[in-house]
Amino acid sequence: MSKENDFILKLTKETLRNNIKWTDKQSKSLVLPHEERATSKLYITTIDDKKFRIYEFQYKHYTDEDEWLWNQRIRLEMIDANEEKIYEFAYNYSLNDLFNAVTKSNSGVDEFLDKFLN
Amino acid sequence: MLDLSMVITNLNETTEHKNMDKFISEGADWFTFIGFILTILTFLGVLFNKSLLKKINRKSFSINRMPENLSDLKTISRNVSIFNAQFGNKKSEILIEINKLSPILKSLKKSLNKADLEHYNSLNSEIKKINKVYYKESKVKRIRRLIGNYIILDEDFVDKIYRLLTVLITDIENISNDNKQNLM
Repeated sequence: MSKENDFILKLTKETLRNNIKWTDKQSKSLVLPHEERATSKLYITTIDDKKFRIYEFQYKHYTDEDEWLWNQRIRLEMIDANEEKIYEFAYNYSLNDLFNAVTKSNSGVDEFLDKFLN
Repeated sequence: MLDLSMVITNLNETTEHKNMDKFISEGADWFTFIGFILTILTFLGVLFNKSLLKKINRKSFSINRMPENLSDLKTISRNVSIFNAQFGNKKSEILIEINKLSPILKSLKKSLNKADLEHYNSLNSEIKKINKVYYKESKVKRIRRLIGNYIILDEDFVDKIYRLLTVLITDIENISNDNKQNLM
């Protein structure tokens, strides 16, 4: 198994344990290639002076020359201080679990449910 | 004179009988041979149909069952990732989730080609150990404890299952995308 997968797994665990905090911002400023478009907010965290960004995006999955379906994926990137992409992590399904952990943590739904149900 | 003509007639009849016998015998040989060839062709036809039927079944499974299997695997992956972050308190929940994998994998196998089985086999061989995995020592059956044939659930085991599971899901997502392409 690759180190990248280990990193994603650790990031997911630490996010769920609230040891890593993510900030969020609108995705309007993000320009993506090949008619891709962001379908979620952009979530950013800093670990050991390195910034990471995760978001959900849509891309065209071509089934023929001029026929396509919209597919969704999660992308994790390392970015610089100007939020330019430095490196993109290879896609693996575990990115979806990381993304769910991040959105759940940032939404505050757990705190709301705890308060509402008690 | 009369006797001689009768002898000649008898001789002619005997020759005709012999020719007829030979013809029938040779015909029978040919029919046996043709029957044998037809049997071989039928056998080959059955084999061909069987493999064709297998392919059709696999295609049907990959269209009808694979999306459901994929969705179930994703739910388990999500639950395992959440419970694994609180490993100390959620051991029994993790074991329940891992146990759910076995029937799904059995069903999923029917949709996969031999070439797509690499990550499936890796996960399946880990899942087979689950019968001797216990989340605490007191839950181990006495006989197993005596012969030491058990594993106590630890975070490394769960991490391994989770990694293999997410790699398999990634594979199936790609196969599903290819299927969409092939169906067009």
